[in-house]
Amino acid sequence: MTEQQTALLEVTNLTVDYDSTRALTSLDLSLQQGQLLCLLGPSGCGKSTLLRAIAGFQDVAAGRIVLAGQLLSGAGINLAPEHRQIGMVFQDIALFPHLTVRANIAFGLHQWSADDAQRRVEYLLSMVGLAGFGERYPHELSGGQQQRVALARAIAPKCNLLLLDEPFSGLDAALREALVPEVAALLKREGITAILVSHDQKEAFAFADQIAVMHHGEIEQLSSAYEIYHKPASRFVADFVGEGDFIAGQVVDSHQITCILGNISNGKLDFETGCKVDVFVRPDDILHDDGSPIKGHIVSKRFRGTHFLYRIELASGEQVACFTDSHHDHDIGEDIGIKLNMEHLLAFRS
Amino acid sequence: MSVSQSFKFRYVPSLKWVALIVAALVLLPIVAVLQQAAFVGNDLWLHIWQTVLPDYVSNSLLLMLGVGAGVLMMGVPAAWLAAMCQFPGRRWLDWALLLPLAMPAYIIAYTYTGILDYAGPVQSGLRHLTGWGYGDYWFWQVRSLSGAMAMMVLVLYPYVYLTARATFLEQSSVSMDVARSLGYSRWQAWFKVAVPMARPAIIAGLTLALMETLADYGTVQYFGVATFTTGIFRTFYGFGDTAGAAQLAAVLLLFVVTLIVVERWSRRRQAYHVKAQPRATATAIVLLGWRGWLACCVCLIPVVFGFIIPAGQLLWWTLFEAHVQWSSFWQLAWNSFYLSALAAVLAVCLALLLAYAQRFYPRQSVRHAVTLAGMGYALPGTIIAIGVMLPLAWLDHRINDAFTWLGWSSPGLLLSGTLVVLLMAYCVRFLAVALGGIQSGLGQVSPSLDESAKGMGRNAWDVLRLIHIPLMRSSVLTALLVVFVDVLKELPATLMLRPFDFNTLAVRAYELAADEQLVEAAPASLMIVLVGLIPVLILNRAINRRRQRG
Repeated sequence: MTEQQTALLEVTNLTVDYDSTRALTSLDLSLQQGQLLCLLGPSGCGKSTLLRAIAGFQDVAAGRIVLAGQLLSGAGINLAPEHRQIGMVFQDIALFPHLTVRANIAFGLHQWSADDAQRRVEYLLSMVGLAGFGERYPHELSGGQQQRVALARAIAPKCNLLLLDEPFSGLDAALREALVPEVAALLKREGITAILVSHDQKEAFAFADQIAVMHHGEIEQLSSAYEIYHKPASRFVADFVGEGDFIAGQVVDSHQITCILGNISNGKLDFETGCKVDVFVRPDDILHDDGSPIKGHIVSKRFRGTHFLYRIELASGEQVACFTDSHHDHDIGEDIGIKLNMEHLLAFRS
Repeated sequence: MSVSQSFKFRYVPSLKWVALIVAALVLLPIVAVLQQAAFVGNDLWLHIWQTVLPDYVSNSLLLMLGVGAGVLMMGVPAAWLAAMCQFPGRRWLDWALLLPLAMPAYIIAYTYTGILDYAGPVQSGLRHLTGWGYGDYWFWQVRSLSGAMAMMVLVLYPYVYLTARATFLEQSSVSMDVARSLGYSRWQAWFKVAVPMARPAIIAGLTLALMETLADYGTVQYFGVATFTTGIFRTFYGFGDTAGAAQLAAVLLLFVVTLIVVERWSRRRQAYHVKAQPRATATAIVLLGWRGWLACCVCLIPVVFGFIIPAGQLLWWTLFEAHVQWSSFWQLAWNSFYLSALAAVLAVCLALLLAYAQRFYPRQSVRHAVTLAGMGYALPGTIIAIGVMLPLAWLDHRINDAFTWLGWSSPGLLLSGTLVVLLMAYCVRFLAVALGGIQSGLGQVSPSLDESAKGMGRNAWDVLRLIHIPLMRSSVLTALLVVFVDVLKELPATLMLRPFDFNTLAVRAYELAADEQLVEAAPASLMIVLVGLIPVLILNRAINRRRQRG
C-alpha cells in the first residue's frame, strides 16, 4: 500500500475503445520515480494506445490516470496533452524540418526566459553529445543524431514523465544496439522516469528496469527482465520473450515432471500428480551430447558465427531448438544425441 | 560503357538541338520585347512614364496585395480543414473547392456585375423590400479595384488550396502531437508548426495566383481598373505604338521576374526538408457540433461564391433570357475547339520532344533548355502577344520584300496575320502546362524499365511501342486536355493576335459583356465553364488516387 502511495504514475482500471473495438481492458500499472519501464508486446497489443492515453492523445472509456498526484484522465476529466507535463519521443522522430537543432530543442521552452532557455539548450546539447551542432538543420544530421535531438527536445521542459513510442525502430540494428543502452544510461543519470514502447525484447532488456509484457490489451506480466525470461507468468510471455518450444509432459509427483527428454525436477510444483502439462524448453536448455540415449533428427540449421542453432525433431514429432559450438557441424537429416539441462522448469497446464 | 549510357536513340544529338530550339522559341518573345523596349525610343513613352505609369504600378501592386491576402485567407484554412479534419460535408467540399478553377476571372467578373449592379436581382430585390429609390442608399460598387480583387480571389484561391492541401496531407500529424506534448495548444501548434512547415508550398500556390493576377486582362479592363495589361493593350491597339507597349511589357516583366525570384528564394531549403512518412494511424481531427458546422461554412463559402452562384446565374441567363443564334454560336464553338485542339497537339508534341531530349540526353544544356521552356507560363498573355507579334511581323515584312524584289504580288501577312501567330503564342504560354504533365508521366516510367527491356533484347522502338506508349497514354491525354481548356479560356493574347474577323467563344463572350450585353454573353461563357470543368474533375480523380495509395 505504501508503495502505491509513492508511485509517480498510477494507472487504474484503464479501458480504451477504438471505435467499436476494445484496445485496453481494465488495465492497472504503477511506476516509481526514476524507473525505466518498457511496454513490450506484438503489434496490436495495445502498448501504443496505452502510451497515447497517458500522453493525452487518446480518450479513455473508463479508469483513471494519475501522475504525481494529479488526475490526468478519468472521472470526466481529460486534461489536454499540452497541460500534462509529459515529454514524448515519437516513432518517426518528427523533428521540425524548418527549424535548426537549437530551435527544435528550445521549442518547448517558450515559457522560459531567453537566458534560461539558452542555458538549458546548451546543457542538453552537450548531454546528448551534440555540442556544436545547434545551428544545423535536421536533414544535416545522421539518424542517430536526429534521435538524440528528439530526445533532448522531449526532456527540455523538465517533464514529470518521458514517453518513448518505438523511437529506435527506424534505426539500423547496429546503431540501435549502441544507442539504446546509451539512452537508458542517460535517463538514469538525469533521474528521468520513462516508459518505452517496443516490440523488440532485446531493446526492452537493454533499456528497462521493469518490463510489462502486453497482450490483447492487458498486461500479462510486469517484472524485471530476468523474471520475464526465466519465470514467465503465462504461456504467451514464455513464447513471446526469447526462443523456445513447448513439449508435452506429465506431472509425476509434487517435484517432478516427465517428458520425452527425461525427468525434470525442480522445487515445488503447483500441479496435481498426473496432470498433463506443456514444458517450455529454450535452446540453451538443450545440450548436444553424442553419448546421450535421447536422439533427435536435424530438421534445419542456422550458422550464427559463435554457434549453430539446430532445430531437432524428436521421436514424438515435437521439435526443439539447440545451440552447439560452431565446430559441431552436422548435416540436415543427421541424428544427434541431446540431453536436457534445465535450471528453471517452466510448465503450463495443457 | 554503362548500361544507361549505351541505351539511346541514334538520333539523340538532333534531339538535343530540338530542345534548344524549343527553348529559344520561348525566349524569343522576351528578347523581342526587351529589344523593342530598349532600342526604339519615342516621345509617347515619356508621356506614359509621366502620366499613367504611377497608376499602373499602384493599381497592380494593390491588386496583388489584395488578391494575395484574399487567396491566403480563403485557401489555407480550407486546405487544412479538408486535409486534417472530419466535419459534415468534408468529402464533398474537398473536391467542390476546386470548382472555381473552371471559372475564368473575366467571366465571373461580368456575371457578378449582372447580379450586383443597379438593375441586378440583388439591388432590385433590396429596393423592392425597402421601398428605396435610386440614390437613397449605398451599395458596393463591384466595378472597382476592390471588386476586381474580390473576383480574382474567388477564382484564384484554388491554387493556394491545392498546394497547401497537398503539403498538409504530406505533413505527419505527429508534428502537431509533438508540439502539444511540448506544451502548445492546438491553435498554437497550428500557427507554430503546421503553417510554417507548409509555408514553401503555400508560397508556391500564392505565386501562381499572383502571376495570374498580373496576367489578367479581362477583369481589370471590364472593371475600368488601369493596370499594366490594360495599358499595354491600349498602347498597342489604341495608339498603335508597339514600342510603348513593349516598354510597358518590360516593366511588367520586372514584376514577374521579382515574383519568380521571391518564390525560388522562399523555398531554397525546401529541397532538403525531411519528409515524414504519413502514418497509417494518422487520425483526422473530428470536429463536432458547432465547430463542425463552422468548418463546413468556411469551406462552403468559396464554393458558393466562386462557383455555384455565378454558374447558376450563367445557366439562368442561357436558359431563360438569352437569344441564342445557334448557327453563329456553333461557328464560334468550332473556331474555339479547333484552335484549342491544334494548340494542344502542338504544345504536347513539343513537350514530348523536350521531355525525351532530357531523358536520353541528360546534359546540363538540355536541362537548362527544358527549365527555360517551362517559364512561358509566368509570362502574361499580353507580353507574349507583343513578343510573338514583333518577330513574326518582321519576318512577314522580309517575306513581302522578297516577293516584291522577285516581282511577285505581295502575299500579305502570312504569319502575323493568320492563326500561326496565335498558335505560337499559345505554345509559348502553355508549353509549361504540357511539359509538367508529360514529365510527371515519364517520371513514372523508370529508366530501369528501359534497361530491363533492352536486357531482354528489345530495341529502342520496341521500348517506345511496348512500354512508353501504354504507360504514357493517360499523361499525354491529360496534358492535351489541360492545354486545350487553357487555350479555350485564354483571352488577352487571343484578343490581340486573332486574325481579322476571327472570333472565339472567349473573345465573343468578352465583347458582348463589354457592350453591356451580359445576358447574351452567357451561353458562350457557360460553354467555357463547362468544358473547363473537365480538367478539374481529372485533377480531383488524380488527387484521390494519390491519397488512396498513400
